[in-house]
Amino acid sequence: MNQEHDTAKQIIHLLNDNLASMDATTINKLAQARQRAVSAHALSTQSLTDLQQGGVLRLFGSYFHHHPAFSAGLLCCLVLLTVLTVQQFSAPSNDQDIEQSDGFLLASDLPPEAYVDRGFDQWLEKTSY
Amino acid sequence: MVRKNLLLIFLLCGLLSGYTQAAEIKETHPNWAHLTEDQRKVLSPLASEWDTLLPWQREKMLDIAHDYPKMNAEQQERVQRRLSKWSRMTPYERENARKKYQAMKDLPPEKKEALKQKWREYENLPEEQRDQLRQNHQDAHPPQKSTQ
Repeated sequence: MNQEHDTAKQIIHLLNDNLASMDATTINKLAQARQRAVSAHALSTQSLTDLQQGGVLRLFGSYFHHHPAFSAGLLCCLVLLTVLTVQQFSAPSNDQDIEQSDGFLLASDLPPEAYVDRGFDQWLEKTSY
Repeated sequence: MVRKNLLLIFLLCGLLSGYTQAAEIKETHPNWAHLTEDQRKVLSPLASEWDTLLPWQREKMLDIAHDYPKMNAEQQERVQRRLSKWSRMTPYERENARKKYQAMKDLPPEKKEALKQKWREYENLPEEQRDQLRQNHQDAHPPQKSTQ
């Protein structure tokens, strides 16, 4: 970077020193070169600004606009993936199944009515269970 | 062109969503005719009333049928015997039963045995005495009124 800077300074000095003795053709070439450099710089600055201001979205929007079938397919895949992911995470694990299943309550030593009969609760209290 | 594509996408999403929901309903709330042979065997005590059960009731019964093969013969016999009564209990009664079952299932074996014995004694009481016990319980534990 520093070397480039030094070279540029040397060129400026040489140009300044020989400015008076330059012929019209050289001056014209230098003017054209400067114009090209300024245009190129302006273009690159504009591209960067476009990207920063939603240029990427416009780029993708344009792509999807020109490939509707691919876009629809991609959207369907995303929807399907979302549905599958939600199902996967909402499904209870086997361990939870075993712990919370009504089947094991029905299969237990006491019948289901024993768990809800208030008279049985009272009987347990009365007989000092 | 863009509108056509949007319409197509919405149509596909609608079809996919409808298909997924229909498949899920058929899988979780099937009619008696749509049950598998194994499920019908387990749920046979409910055969006559199955199609009148609400979707959530069917779902719970299918969970029971799912766990049935994991049980031993004695447990399977108990499940078959108690299914009908269980299906007629209210959601509130079932929830209470689940809570008490969870609390009692971790008791030590001797406590469980004592509990079984107490239930046998209670079952052998005359109906009038059991009614009296229920009434006594209600008097001792009146339902709490919600304060708003």
